[in-house]
Amino acid sequence: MGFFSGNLSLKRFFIEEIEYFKDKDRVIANLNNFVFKDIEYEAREESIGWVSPVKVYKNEIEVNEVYFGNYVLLALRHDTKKVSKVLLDCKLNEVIEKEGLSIQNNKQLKQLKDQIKQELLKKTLPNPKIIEAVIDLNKKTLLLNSTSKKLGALFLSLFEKTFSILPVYVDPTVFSYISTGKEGVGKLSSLTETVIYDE
Amino acid sequence: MTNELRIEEFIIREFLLYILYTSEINGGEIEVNGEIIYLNVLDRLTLEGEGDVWETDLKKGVPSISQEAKRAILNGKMPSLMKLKVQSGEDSFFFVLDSKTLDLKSLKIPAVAIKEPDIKLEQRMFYIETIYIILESLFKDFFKIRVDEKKWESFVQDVKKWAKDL
Repeated sequence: MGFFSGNLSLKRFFIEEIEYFKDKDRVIANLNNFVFKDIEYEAREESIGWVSPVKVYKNEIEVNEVYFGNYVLLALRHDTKKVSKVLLDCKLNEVIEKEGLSIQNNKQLKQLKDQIKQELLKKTLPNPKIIEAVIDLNKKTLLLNSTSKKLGALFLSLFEKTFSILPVYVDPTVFSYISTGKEGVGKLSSLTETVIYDE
Repeated sequence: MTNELRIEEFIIREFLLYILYTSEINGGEIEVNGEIIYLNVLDRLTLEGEGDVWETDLKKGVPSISQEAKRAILNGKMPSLMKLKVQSGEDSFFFVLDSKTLDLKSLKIPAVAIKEPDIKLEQRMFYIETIYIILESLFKDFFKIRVDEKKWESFVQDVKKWAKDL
């Protein structure tokens, strides 16, 4: 994973309630409450949950897979399945023709379509995405290894649901606060833009 | 954390201009917490202006000294995205900074040969933290100039002089 090797794309957050994450048993129990559930053979379009950062296929997370010294590693897995619209229409027409069905109304058509979609979903392989993050217990920070807004939102949503804690995103304003303090932000926010022109 | 105060994006673009200019002066040498480091803007630089779409994308060569980048600055454009190399002793770091978020994109840190997971993670986190410390230090330096009217005016004149030297 990115925090052990390879390049990273990082969003930084602050966690005020950092003491919470020092309670290893509570954290692991909560992660396991929202553990990832495999949808490979199921007629479901989406599944989201926590996995072990070192063994993403496992359905039970253990302390030694998450806690590394002063760091807490988290990995979220988000699987999606999508049935091609073209394939769905093909199968629908095939079933209607083969079985000589006479569709009377839109409701009937929708029911049949849903039924075929469910069957196709079971045969469709999921598209998995792993989103990693690390909590630094000393610095009270969380680094999310994804700058995608969509994945970031998914991560934060599950994080809040799991721990009832919402980290504060270090955007340019918070970055300025960290670097120059409240007074600094006050001064910078009152400035007007400089435009450089070669007169 | 900061109540209702917000930092507008132009401040961060001016910060990126400060980084760009600093990387061009004295071979990009700066001091961070008593350590000498070297800044280089690499071959990915976007400059934007206000109003209509005013964007100059430079992806090849060395943009900071390219005529096109300097011309864009003299036309009122500011850097909005740049790829940076930071050299600290033997260690090299590469990353992309965006004025909208200041997230660290495509961050490449020095390789860690250690296999022990705890120590490897600690070392890699130390490298990541190093980049944040450098950025915060650079921002503090920028802040000191930016909020001082005379110093900022002098900085702007220096940038103009440098940019005109095509």
